[in-house]
Amino acid sequence: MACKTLTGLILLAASAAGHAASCCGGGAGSALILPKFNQSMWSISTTAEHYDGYWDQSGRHKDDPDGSELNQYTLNAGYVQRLAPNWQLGASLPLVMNDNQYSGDANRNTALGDASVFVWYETFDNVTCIYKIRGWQSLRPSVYLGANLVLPTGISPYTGHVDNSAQTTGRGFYRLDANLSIEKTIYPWSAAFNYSHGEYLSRMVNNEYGTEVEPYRKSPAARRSLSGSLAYTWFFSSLDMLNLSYAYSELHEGQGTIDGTADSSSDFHKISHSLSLGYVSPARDWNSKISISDALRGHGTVDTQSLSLEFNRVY
Amino acid sequence: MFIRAFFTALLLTLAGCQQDLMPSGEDIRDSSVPGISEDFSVSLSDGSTYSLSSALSTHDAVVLYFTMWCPVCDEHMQHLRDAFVPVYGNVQFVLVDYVSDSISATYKNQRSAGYLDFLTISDHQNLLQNMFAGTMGTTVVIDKNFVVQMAEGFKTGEQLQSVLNAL
Repeated sequence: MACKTLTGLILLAASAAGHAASCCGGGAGSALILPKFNQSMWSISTTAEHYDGYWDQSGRHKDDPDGSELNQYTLNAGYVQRLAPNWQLGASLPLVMNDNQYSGDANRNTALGDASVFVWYETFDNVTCIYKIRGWQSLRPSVYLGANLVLPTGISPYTGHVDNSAQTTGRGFYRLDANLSIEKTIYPWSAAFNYSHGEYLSRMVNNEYGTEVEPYRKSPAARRSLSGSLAYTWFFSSLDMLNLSYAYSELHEGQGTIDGTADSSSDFHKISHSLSLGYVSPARDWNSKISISDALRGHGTVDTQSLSLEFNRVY
Repeated sequence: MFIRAFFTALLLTLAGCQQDLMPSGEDIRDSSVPGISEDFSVSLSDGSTYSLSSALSTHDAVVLYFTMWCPVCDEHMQHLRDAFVPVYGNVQFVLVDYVSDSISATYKNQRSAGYLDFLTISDHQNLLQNMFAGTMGTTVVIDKNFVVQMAEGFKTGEQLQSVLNAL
């Protein structure tokens, strides 16, 4: 079920990941990134996620308790503003609803998730999408360097408002990520690679799931994620585009500590893949995408399937 | 206008979430958990009755672990099985299923999760949950004199180990 890894999951939704708006990247990108020559962008996305058991620390798959039906729905609003020719600043704010039938006990709660503020630096001055290879120079990809700050605005296990982890909407920690995104489009094909390394700020805890506890310091381990994707684009006579992309991703956190002692229950690794179909308008001023994602395997994490819809308005 | 509205909403959000934005290390525990446990009789997953006084008549202490059969609970229970049960032979380790709504559901979940080797209480009437303010991962140690030596989250198991060593 959804224990520690509402951790991974909520946070994945709350971070800027999961969007795709790099029009010139052909839809293979996975970050909320403003296209090169646009000034701002709004993004609205929604995700329905279904929990289907979990993998224990040895990687063995186990079922949720009998009679369980665990779902989480996220509505995410994002905005990105160009600050300078190669700099963009953005923020995203999720609203999360947990709808759980847990071993016969029904429960539903809605609250904000963890907000994110992020900045991207574009290492290139011109659009790198090409139709035909014309020498080595034309193979230069779009490389983005970014930083993402996750703010603990959601309901975490430590706020005292929830009984168990299935009701949380946030992780409860600040996290700073360093992000790398590389995209290359040689129409009709696009490929992208994303890597992120996140460090949590340790914190004091005096409440767990509504119970006051002896105060202790909790320090989650670093979070690493990487993903690779491949997309194919179809052009229509009206100049609009349709693209289909496949992505593979891995998410890992090591053992954190509690008052300096290793916390073996915090270690998790999750491997998942997704398929997306995106549409880009003729004027490139809006795009939308539908995605399905499925967890393949892992340890210490939940098994999930999700369906996402996304709409981006570009100015 | 949109930018201002968005960032205003973000600021309002941050202002309303101070518990995690500015965490406190203050000890806010109250004394709702009893220092002395009452005797209790509850149902085990096999349908038999579990009595605290009976258990303490043959063991130095009883450890109750509140589980909802989740990944974190699973890791804790595995830790109990590997690092505690073989070491503390005269302590009885008992799982407390506080989420299942019947004895048969507790048994199914216990079997599915792979913990048939543990005594498991079906707390479907929330008796123990209310008595010990039990929630996910709460670990309670009751000694031979019915004194509650610990009623905290399992965390790393370090506190449980020191409590059991001190018995």
